[in-house]
Amino acid sequence: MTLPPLSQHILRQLELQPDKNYLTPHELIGLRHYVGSLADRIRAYRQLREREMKLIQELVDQLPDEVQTETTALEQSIKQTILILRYAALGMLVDDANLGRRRLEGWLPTMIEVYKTQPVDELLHRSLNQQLPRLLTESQMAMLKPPLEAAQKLLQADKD
Amino acid sequence: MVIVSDLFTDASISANYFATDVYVHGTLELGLLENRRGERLLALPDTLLRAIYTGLDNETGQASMLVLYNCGRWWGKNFYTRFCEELTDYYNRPVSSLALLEFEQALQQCWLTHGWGQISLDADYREDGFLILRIRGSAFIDYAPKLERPVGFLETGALQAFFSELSGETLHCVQTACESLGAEENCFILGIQERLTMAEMGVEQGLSHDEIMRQLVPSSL
Repeated sequence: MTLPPLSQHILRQLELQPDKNYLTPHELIGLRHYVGSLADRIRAYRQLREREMKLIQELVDQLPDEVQTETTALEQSIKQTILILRYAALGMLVDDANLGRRRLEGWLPTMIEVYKTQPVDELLHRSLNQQLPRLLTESQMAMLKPPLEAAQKLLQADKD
Repeated sequence: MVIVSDLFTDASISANYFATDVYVHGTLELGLLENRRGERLLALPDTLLRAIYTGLDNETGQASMLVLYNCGRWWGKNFYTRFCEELTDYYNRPVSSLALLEFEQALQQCWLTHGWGQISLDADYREDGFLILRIRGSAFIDYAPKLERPVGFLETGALQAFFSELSGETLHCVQTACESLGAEENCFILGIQERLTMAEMGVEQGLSHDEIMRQLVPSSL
């Protein structure tokens, strides 16, 4: 199976080769669309950055007791959740849905296997996905979703 | 009770250190390629690699295999030091505390990012005292002169030195399958020298990797 090519951040998506040609109308529309949403992306990013710690702590506090006692798996899973959220946030900021996937795909599945984090990951990400819409507006959520989902997919890929 | 803020005291959380798009940097206007610690990397032209093989063969003939193998040992030994230094600094804990799979992942990603191909570790024969390493897409083997035997001399030396340093034992390495001979991947067996004599004889006789393994570990039948 060949994976689809992984997209790049916004400036890489453009052919920066003025010796060949001007940017195409299609590329300019994309760029304008991106610039138009940039203020909103920055607000969402800032919101996530400021609320990260509190948000994750809330997710952890809601976990059932039996999960709380598996400290090693829990701590690793928390780190993974933070990483995924950070990559998703940055992916949203620079319009690169696959940033997290590119950086984490060769690594995350191994960590899940070594630290047996899958059950905790599942719980944490289920409540993360429920909590995020409370922090962000609908349009911000729509921009965060693609990079978040692309990174979260890696959590299920370990059984392949 | 896990307090999340305790988990990131320095606000950094370790991830995939050797990830390709963050590991390789460059100050290209100065003509420098660097890794993420600012240490110099070089892009090795394939023509230079071929030229080294040809030059060695012209000057030293048969001995070039041994020269390459020894170069590989130096490479492996220094590569081990650098690899561990980088991981220790990044993870802030000794490499020996990493799980085997974590270690393997880092090695795989490192190999990949440097463009040396895909390496994997097979610990199935660990109990019997052997470790199998497989490498796919090796440039060093692709450009080596074709012989009627495996030609991964550089990697044989490098793996031997790397894993000797890692295990603290003097290990030996024998390549038993080679992409240059049509194998899907290059196989290397690591173990102590006396126990690998049979593997070396097997390679001379042109036996396959599986046949050699059956001789080394008869119970694996």
